[in-house]
Amino acid sequence: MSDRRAIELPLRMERRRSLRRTVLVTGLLMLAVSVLVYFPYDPGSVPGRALVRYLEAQAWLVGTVLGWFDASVSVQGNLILGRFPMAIVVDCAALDALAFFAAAVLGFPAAWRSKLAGVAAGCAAIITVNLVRILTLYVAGVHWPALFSVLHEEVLQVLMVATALAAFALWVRWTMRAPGRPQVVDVAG
Amino acid sequence: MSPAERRRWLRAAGLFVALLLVGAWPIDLARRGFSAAYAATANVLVTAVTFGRGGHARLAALDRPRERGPGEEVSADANLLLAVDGYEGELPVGVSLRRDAYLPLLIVLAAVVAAPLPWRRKGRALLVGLPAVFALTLVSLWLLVMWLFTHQLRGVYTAVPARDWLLDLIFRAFLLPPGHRFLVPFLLAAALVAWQKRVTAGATVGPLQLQRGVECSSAPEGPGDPARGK
Repeated sequence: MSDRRAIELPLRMERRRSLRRTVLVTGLLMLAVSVLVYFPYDPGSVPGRALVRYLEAQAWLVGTVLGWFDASVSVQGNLILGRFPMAIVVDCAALDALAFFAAAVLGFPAAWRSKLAGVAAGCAAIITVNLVRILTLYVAGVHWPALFSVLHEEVLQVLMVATALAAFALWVRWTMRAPGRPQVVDVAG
Repeated sequence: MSPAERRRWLRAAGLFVALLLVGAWPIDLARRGFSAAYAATANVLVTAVTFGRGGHARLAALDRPRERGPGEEVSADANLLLAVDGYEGELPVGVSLRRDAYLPLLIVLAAVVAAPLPWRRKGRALLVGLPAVFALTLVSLWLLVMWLFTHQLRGVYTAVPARDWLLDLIFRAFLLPPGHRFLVPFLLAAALVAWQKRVTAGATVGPLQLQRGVECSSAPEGPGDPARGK
């Protein structure tokens, strides 16, 4: 029994140290990415203009899809005009979910190629889900206005967070199964 | 993860979603009850604090939730009432205690209750988790009040550019994003479950694990010694 513990305990301690390091690095990255994303940039600055373009792009994409079904929909900048006008602002852009996901992937101990692929694919998925969220809010605003508040402030916000968490969990599973990664096997039985 | 463990976790995920749906179902009486209870509890601490030069704050639950108005972030089920010594009246700022406090507490409660853990471990996780989330909601409230007194109701605090800028950054980066209210409880619940799972696992002797391709040269020889592998 003591021989088994002599091998098992150092592995456990190393794993615990590695986990603590990962959690610390990921936590710091989340703080840093949140600050970078939500910094009050001057509207005329490069990041400020990039953010405005991003919001306008979201409005244009959603407006285009809505326009296939509702001829009254038009887009002006970040405004979606129609039977239920909406302004796409910073809080509509799922930046919090994107910031968390990117930080979590970048902080996880994995090859840089896996991380970059994960950030690209995961962010694309989160942005897509967010576009569906905005579409849903427009439809709810037109047909079920009583549901709009609870969808906007609660249900779909939780959905965005759950999407980011699920995307991270799927990426971890994918990256842990990548060929060439050391496998831990149970040889005791 | 073995198929049995996977099934356990899938069942837990289903139970979590069910608990969340039941707990979050918008029932007016429950909403009013929670707002009143939370406001009464939080006010014990909030009203004890004086902000800057005579600034005061307190929470007042609304009888009927108020829909989001132009320029407002959320529909409100309570008012954060701000007052300044020497001035009459209170400035009401609508807040959603359901979004800012009830749902974060519910997420932690549902996640821990649904987790495949012994009930005693769940109890311990909740004893740590629920007060932690409650404390976080109070800190958020305190930061909100400070931000309002610094950036909206000027004169309560002496302007200190660096401090005011930092407070504004913290407010925008951490308080304002709507997803953070739900992300932090999710992460906290995951940490609590992982912590209690480790405590449960540590109570039994785990199997010996070797990394493939690594030689156990320090292990002594002997018949049937598992360290000798194949």
